[in-house]
Parts: sequence; structure tokens; C-alpha cells
Amino acid sequence: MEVMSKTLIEVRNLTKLYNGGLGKPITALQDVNFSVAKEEFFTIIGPSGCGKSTLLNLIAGLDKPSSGEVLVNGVKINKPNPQLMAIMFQEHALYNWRTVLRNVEFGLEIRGVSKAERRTKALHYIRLVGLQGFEDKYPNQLSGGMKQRAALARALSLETDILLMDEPFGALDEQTRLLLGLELTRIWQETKKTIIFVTHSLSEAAFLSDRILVMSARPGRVKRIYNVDIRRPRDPNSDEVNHIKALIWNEIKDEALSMMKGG
Amino acid sequence: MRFKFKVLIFQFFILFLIILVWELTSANVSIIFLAPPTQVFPLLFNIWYYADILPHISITGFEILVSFGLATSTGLSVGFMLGTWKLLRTTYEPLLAALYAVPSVVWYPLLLLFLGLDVASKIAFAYILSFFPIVLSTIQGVSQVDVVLVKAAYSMGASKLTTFYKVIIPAALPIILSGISTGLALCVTGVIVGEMLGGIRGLGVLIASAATRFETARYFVLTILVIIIAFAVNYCGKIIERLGGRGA
Ligand SMILES: Nc1ncnc2c1ncn2[C@@H]1O[C@H](COP(=O)(O)OP(=O)(O)O)[C@@H](O)[C@H]1O
Ligand SMILES: [Mg+2]
Repeated sequence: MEVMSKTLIEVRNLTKLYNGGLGKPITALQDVNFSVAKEEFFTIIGPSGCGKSTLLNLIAGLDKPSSGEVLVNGVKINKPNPQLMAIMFQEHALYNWRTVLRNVEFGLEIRGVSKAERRTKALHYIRLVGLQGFEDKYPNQLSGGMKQRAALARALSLETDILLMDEPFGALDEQTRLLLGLELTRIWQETKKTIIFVTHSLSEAAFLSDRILVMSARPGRVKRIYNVDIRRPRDPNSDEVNHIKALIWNEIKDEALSMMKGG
Repeated sequence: MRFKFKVLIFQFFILFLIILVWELTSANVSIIFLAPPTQVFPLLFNIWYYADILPHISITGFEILVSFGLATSTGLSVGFMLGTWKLLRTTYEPLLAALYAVPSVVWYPLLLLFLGLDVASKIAFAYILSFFPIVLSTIQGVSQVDVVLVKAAYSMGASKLTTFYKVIIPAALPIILSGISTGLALCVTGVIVGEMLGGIRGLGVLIASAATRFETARYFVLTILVIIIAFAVNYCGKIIERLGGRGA
């Protein structure tokens, strides 16, 4: 990472309780604190069920915290702000009844952008993610990787400073995942976005990130934040990347184990 | 195309077989029980024969249209309301599902008492039959829309209303349309059965009276008309379902 640059996102004492159903609330997140710098690639990793999606939803303003707050540029987030943040989910969340082009246009349509302008923009981002030629296909005519590309194009089309990604490549096979990771790095560098990237993949985290936040098992807390000072472009199989993977694995394995034992 | 042609050949073959069996059987039984095709078809294709039947067909058609229109509009409205409002859904969906399981014919005497023998009771009866599949499938379609689709819309700044008509309705459409198609088929059944069980006008009334008077040729002509209507309606249902297109 470069010299400490300007803070963009601040997560302060964030706690989230869910109604457990039997009157006993589930603490999904407890006292989470961290901040993300402008143009940073910030990754959150942790065992499944530790509250990563909950955290991302709170940052996106899709859900309300039980206590604590999220600030972006010093302003508190309490509802989705599509001018500021775009979000991408693990499930592609594409609309099956719309073509790729019209899916990518969706956000701009909501924003009230004129038809000509949103077409131009959508086509631009479809090209950027390498989906040219598939504009008129429907989602169920695409492979898993292509669906995620389309979802990425839709998120990019909003031209926000911040991109939140919740295990976006989690359902893909390893090669596709690696390939999309490479392209994401390129797009991130081209568009100078700030990315918060949730994953459970050690390789992905080590290969992509400027910093990695390791979360503990339920209740989700910040266990540790690692700096990844590896020059880019990175080699996914370099010793440096493997070293980071080993470090994170050591940090995370007890958590994963406790989660598996039914924590 | 070749395949479709073969299918058509086979369909005609079955039709031919049925008519053949019909003709052979009727040769051996009294004309009171079974009129032969050679007697039925000349009537079926004789335009003048329909002079007194036509008004009844239009009454039946009218009843189908009105009851189907009412069932669709109320079924969709109630379905959308219950589908999006969890409290209402939890409260009333089991009740609707239970009512759907009741054989609707049990309501018919009551309807006759309150609405009389003419069209109103037929419309009400067909309405009851077709309302349930429409409302239940609408509830199901709307409440089963993947939450992530809705979340994605919210994250892109869509309001609740916009999300409803740009995401929830199209996502639920295939299930809703299959409910409407079922509703349409049941609606036809309701109207004809209602007329047959007791009425003044309509195809069902004619069929019932032809049957009780042992006018078997007339009975068959009318029955074939109902079959044609049913096929046409079934075809409309298929078209309705196909409107769902790529959704799901
Ligand atoms: N809407 C909800 N209601 C109740 N519990 C929830 C809800 N969403 C998530 N949880 C619970 O909160 C915990 C964290 O979930 P989540 O944030 O999805 O974890 P992750 O994304 O890390 O797998 C889990 O135990 C999950 O069961
Ligand atoms: Mg998750």
C-alpha cells in the first residue's frame, strides 16, 4: 500500500443483532471498527456465517445497525446511496427477463438517465468486462462467469467511487475466479475505485488486496488487519502471495474450526 | 416441421379411431343411447341448426368472460396484497388454501338460492372456481421472489413502488400466469357445470335438457361445441403462460 492516504469509509463500533426467532437475539456483529482509504482494495475474510454479508449490507445502507455507525466522507449512511456505492452479490442478482444490456442499464434507468446516454454507458461497461457480443443474451443463456461479469458491468455502470462486493466470484470454478480476479484488478486500477471485497478464499484475498481484515467466528469481530505490501501486477503463485495466504490461514483456522463445531 | 407433421398425423389418427369406435358402437345400440357420427356430423356442420343455439353460446361466453375478468382482477389484487404483506399472508393464506380444497360444488345450491337460476349464479360459481388458483399462485409468485433481486434494486436506488413493478411483478409473472391459465380452464368448467345443474340459458342448460330428453344427436353436437370451446380456452391459456417468456 502507498503512504496512508485519505480515509473514505469509517466503520465505528458497529453491532448487529438479529431476531433469533425464539426470543434469543443472535449477535451477528460485535463492535466492529475499521476504516478504508480512498482507492484502496480492502478485503474482508472470515469463516462462513461470521457476519461478512451482514457487515457489507450495513455499509451499503441496506440494513440498519443495532448500534454504531458507518460514515462515508464523514457522512452517516442510513439508506442505500447509489450515487456513492454500488454493490455486487454472490448470486448474480440479474433480472432474468431482461437482456444483458437492459440489466446493465437498470441502475441508470432508476436514476432517470436518458435512453441514449444509458445505452452508451451500458455498452461501455459491457465492453470493459469483456462481454461484448452478449448484449442481447438473457442471463440464463450465460455461464456463471459471464453472469458475474454482467453483474459487475451493472455495478460499474453506476460510476460510484465505492464498489462493495459480497463473495462475487464465490460460486465460480477456480480458473474463472482467478481470471475474473485479474480483470477486476485491471478495472480497479483503471477506474480508481475503492473496493470492499468479501471472500472466503485465501488465494483471492492474498492476490487482490491492499489490506485484509480477518473476522472472528460468531459474533463477528475484527480479529486482525493485514497489510499486503506486494507489488502489482502480482503472480498468484509467488512466494509472497503464498506467505500471506499462510499468515491468514493461521489466523483463521481456529475460527473456521469453532464455526464447524456448531459455534 | 417434419416432427410437427407426424404429431398431426397421429392426432388425426386418434380422432379417426374414436369416430370409428363411436360409429361401430352406435350401430349396435339403440339410438336413444348413442347417436352415430353419421347423424351427428351433418347437424354439426349445418349452419341453420344453430339458429336457436347461438344465443345460448353467447350467454355462456358472456358468463365465462365476466367471471374470468372478476376472478383475475380480484385474484391479482388480493394476491399482490397478501404476497407483499407478510402479516396478512400468514393470517389468510392457510384459510384460502383450505377453501380451495373444498369441492366448490357444495356452494352452488346456496348461490342458486341467493342469485337465482339465471346468469348471476353461474358467474358467481365460476368465479369461486377460478379465483383460488389465481390468488394462490399470485401470493406464491410474489412472496417467493428471490430477496437478492429486491436488494439489488434497492441498492440501485429503486423505491418500493418501482421495485414492485420493475422487479417483483416480472419475477413472479410465470407463476402468476400459470395460475391465471388454470383459473381460465376452471372458469369454463364452472360455467358449464353451473348451467347443467340448473339454469335458464346457456350451453350447459341445452346439454342437460337434450340429455334428459334423449335427444342424443343434439346432445353430441352440443358436447362437441363445448369441447371446441375448451380447446380454444386451453389454447388461450397456453398463450397467456407464454407471455411470461424468459422470466423465472
Ligand atoms: N436476516 C437474518 N435474520 C436472522 N439471522 C440472520 C439474518 N441474516 C444473517 N443472520 C445470521 O447472522 C450470522 C451472520 O450471517 P452472514 O452475515 O450472512 O454471514 P457470512 O456472510 O459471513 O456468511 C449468521 O449466523 C446468520 O445465520
Ligand atoms: Mg455471506
